[in-house]
Amino acid sequence: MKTLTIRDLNRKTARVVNALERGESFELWRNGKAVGYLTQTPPVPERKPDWKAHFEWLRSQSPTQDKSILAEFEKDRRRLRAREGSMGNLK
Amino acid sequence: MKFAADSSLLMRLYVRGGDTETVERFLTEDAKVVSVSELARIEVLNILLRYPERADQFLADLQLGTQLKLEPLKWDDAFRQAESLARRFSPSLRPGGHDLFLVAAAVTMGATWFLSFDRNSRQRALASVAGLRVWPPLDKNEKGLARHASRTAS
Repeated sequence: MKTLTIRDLNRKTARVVNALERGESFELWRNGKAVGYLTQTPPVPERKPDWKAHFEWLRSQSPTQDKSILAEFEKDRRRLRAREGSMGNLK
Repeated sequence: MKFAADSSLLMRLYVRGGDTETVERFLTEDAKVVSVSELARIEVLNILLRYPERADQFLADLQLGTQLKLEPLKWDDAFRQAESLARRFSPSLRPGGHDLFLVAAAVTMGATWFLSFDRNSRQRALASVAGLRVWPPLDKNEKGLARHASRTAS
């Protein structure tokens, strides 16, 4: 990818746009630092969390399984606490 | 704002319980992104792997990174943070070692919020005295613990 300074962009705007039309891309620099890109490709749209869809999925899962999973998680946690307790902690 | 979840919150994203609707409302508001440490990821995965469909969904969500974001951590910094929390709050709060790591990971990843339903440990009070906002809010007992820990911290 070619680099391009702000000064170049100001001086050669028409040439840069022609190059963009041909499919070239540029890294734009200002004060010795890259500040962005000029390219034909539109940015990927930012995806937002879709929690509604997530919880719909959750509601479609077997409720019987829910109880067993939570019980196993709690058992795991209790085991951890028992170990801490045996070291004299968590009193 | 960064929302760091402990394993008890993450479990509620993959298992229905009494808090499911509360969690759904909280996360849907402002379309929050939940940050996850490797520590919490492994703890949850360890349980969910016994139920392949749930584990697949958890891993797919982490891979996608839209709702759950796995936060890369400098573990040296997290361990130093854990020791610092222990030195300041261990005498008063007596947190579990695992709780120390979870809270230290949240602090190290730059979280502003700590999301946890674990009321059977001192984790939520510890998160509060470590400067994190806690959700669901601390109850009366936890607030008392946090106040006491703050006063006596060295």
